[in-house]
Amino acid sequence: MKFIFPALKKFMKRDVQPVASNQNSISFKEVFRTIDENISFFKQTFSDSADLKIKEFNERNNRGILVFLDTMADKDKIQRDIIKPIMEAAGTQFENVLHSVFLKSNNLIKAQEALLNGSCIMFLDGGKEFYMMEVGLSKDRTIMEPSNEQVIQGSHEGFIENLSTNLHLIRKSFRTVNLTMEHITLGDQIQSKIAMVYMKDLANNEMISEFKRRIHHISMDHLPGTGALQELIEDSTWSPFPQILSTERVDRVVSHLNEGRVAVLMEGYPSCLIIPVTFFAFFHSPDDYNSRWMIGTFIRSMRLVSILIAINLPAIYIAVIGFHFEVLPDDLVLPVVSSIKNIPFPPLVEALVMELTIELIREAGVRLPSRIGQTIGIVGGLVIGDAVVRAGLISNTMIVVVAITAIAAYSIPTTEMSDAVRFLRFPHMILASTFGFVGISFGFMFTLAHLCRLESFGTAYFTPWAPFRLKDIKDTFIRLPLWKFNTRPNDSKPNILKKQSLARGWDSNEKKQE
Amino acid sequence: MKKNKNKITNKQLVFMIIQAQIGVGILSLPHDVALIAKQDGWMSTLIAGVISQGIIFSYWGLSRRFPSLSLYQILPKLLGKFAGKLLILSYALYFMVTGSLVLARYSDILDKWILPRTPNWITMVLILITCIYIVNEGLTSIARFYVLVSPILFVLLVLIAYAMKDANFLYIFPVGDHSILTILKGSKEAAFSMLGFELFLFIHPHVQSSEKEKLISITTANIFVTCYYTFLVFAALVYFEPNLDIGLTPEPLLYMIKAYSFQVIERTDLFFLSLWLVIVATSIANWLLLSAMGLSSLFRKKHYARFLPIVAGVYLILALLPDQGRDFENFNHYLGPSHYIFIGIIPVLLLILSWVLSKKEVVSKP
Repeated sequence: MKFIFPALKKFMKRDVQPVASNQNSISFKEVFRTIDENISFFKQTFSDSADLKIKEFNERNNRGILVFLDTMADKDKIQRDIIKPIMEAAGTQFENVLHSVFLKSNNLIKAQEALLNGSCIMFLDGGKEFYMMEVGLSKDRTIMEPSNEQVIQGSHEGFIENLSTNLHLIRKSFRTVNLTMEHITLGDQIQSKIAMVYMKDLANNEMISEFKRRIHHISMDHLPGTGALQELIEDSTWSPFPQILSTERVDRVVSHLNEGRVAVLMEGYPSCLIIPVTFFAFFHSPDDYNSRWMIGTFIRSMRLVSILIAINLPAIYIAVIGFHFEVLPDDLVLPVVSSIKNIPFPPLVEALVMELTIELIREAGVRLPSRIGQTIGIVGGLVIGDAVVRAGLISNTMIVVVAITAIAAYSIPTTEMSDAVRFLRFPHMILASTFGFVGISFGFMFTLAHLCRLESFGTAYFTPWAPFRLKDIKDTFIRLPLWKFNTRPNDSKPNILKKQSLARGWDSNEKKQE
Repeated sequence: MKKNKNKITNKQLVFMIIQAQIGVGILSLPHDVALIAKQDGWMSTLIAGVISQGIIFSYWGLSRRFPSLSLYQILPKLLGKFAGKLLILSYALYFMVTGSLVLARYSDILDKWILPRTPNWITMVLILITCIYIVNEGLTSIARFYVLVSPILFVLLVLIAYAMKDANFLYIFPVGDHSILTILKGSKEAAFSMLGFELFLFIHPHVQSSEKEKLISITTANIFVTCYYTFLVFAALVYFEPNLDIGLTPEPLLYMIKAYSFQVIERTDLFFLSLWLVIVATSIANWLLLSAMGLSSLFRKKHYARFLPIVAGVYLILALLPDQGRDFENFNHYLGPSHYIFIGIIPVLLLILSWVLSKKEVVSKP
């Protein structure tokens, strides 16, 4: 330990050296006076790319050009919004049209960016400035329910790959002046647009500035997606547990925003990152709030039990078979013994083989089209499951244990958390096979200590359990009736804790009158 | 975002003290006490609680005079640099020895009850690694962990309470049959299991609350632990015949619940022990923390984390030295007086000294 820890620390420290980004890039270049110079500038910067279109036109004996990328700009829009008004405008009107329709600038670097974002740029001969207009081509997927976060009741809206549509979806379901949106661009070479959404009056300022600090210290040529962003800004990468919630559901984002959290969206990606979150946010589903509270509580506590099962059941089975056979009651001993009697392998090997098989079946099934996916399911479930027992390789009870574990692991509503839980059971199994119950106990302690140490943007990850806060238990693995939710959870440290006072005002009003 | 790294609340203090106090002794305490005080063992436990409460008052007095200094910082301040350093070193050594004794007893019980064929050093390394992991991030995460695992105490209590359905309450009669002296001798045994509240002297500057609240917290913890222990001793006394049976059962609580079988599980003691491990881990973590803190203040290092592996190594060596079982008694025999010196006498003397010298920390109030 003595040597490993400092070595690890050194290794991690090397990674944390902040590097200021964008230092070398030029941010201003003045526009050229003659059109030909401008044309050659664009041709040079875009390496004469095939989709760079430069159209010349004449307006009142004045030469002008339109520059756009036909892969990014919509030709119909150019025709309708630029060419037609210019042609129709006569005399002094032309100046008005220029002013009212176009944005002006004299920075060629900006023009370059605008072109990449789907704008059309107009130069007039001898002008000190150029004009640009957004005519972006948009080919979007329709708004539909995200397939990995389906609900039975409630909104079926999900985010898509277009940032402005996503922001529109949030704003639409959250019409308040307090909703603030900030745009950030990231990436040194290829820039990606990121939007940060939060409630001005609720979100904790310290947390927001911490988030911005982390974002601004990212120096990367290209940000490959929200998953990468998550890894770049989360507190502890040395953890199997996800520390940032990524969701594609609008209603989920909205309810988190109302608890004073920050939502981060990225152009081109349908998932939205929510910070800071706690461990228990990964076990929530919007369905819990749409069903009756008793049912919601029941289902949520089932999910919590499911983590315990998913992490510990194979480990406990291995420990019982390998170390503590006396734990089994008398009536159970015979069936278990008869099932494991002729198995040639130790329980750990049995369990590892079966658990890894299930992981493989999952991995094979994920990316296949659904027709072949079914075949995999049949081969995996029926053929392997049945044949492996008949061949006498794996015991019946082990199949039962592995099946229950798999079901329990997949009942966790968030994929990342389900992955974390499935991953954690392997160290637990190995501990159980070496130390029996003692090993499980230590494995569990390690996991709990790890959860206690984790923080997400200044919030303890395992709140409201550690640190314990009784008031916030109302919405963790249980769901109390909505009229109990008078305060927001304290983990996001919202500026206003109070959420509602009398959610069922009519009820208490009636009682008062009696 | 890292400014509150080492602060704990007064509620967390309660649980920290409880977890520090309740430790490896929980299993053998009824046996140790009953050997001396027989059926009046539960009174001894109560008296031990009262005595530790007295010491706690003196700790509180000391902490009130030096609100932002831990004992390791008070020592050089009151006694001068050299004597202070010497005492810090001896405190660190004392904690190492006590901790390693706890470690040795833990692995001894594990050896006897669950893992007879696993070499002891492996179980020791296992718990030491876990404890280092619990401790090295700072007080806040330690406190969170201690609070989180506290429900285990109630589970253990329920298991014991269940076993009491077969108890014979006549065993505790005649009440007060033994002389006060015998009962007090019994409390001496019980007091060893009460150790751990000295943690307060070292972490009180990190507690965010008023002095009065601190006293209430630590008193609550002590009362809880006293009641808990008294109940356990009582349960063992009414379950086993105190004159003969209990002498034969070194871990009476385990023998008590071993016999019970529920519909789905048998050998409840195995589950009991698995949960008990957590309680032991918290108290070993506590000793690790205290000794590492001592070393870090001796070498004027800001954070104690780098000393943890060294301290753990010392623990391992010290715990492996005594021949399991036989040497424990001797070891305990020599360690006995040092408990009085380090836990009772030195802090009280320090308090008196600070009165006499009228030395106290000047608190600048904003």
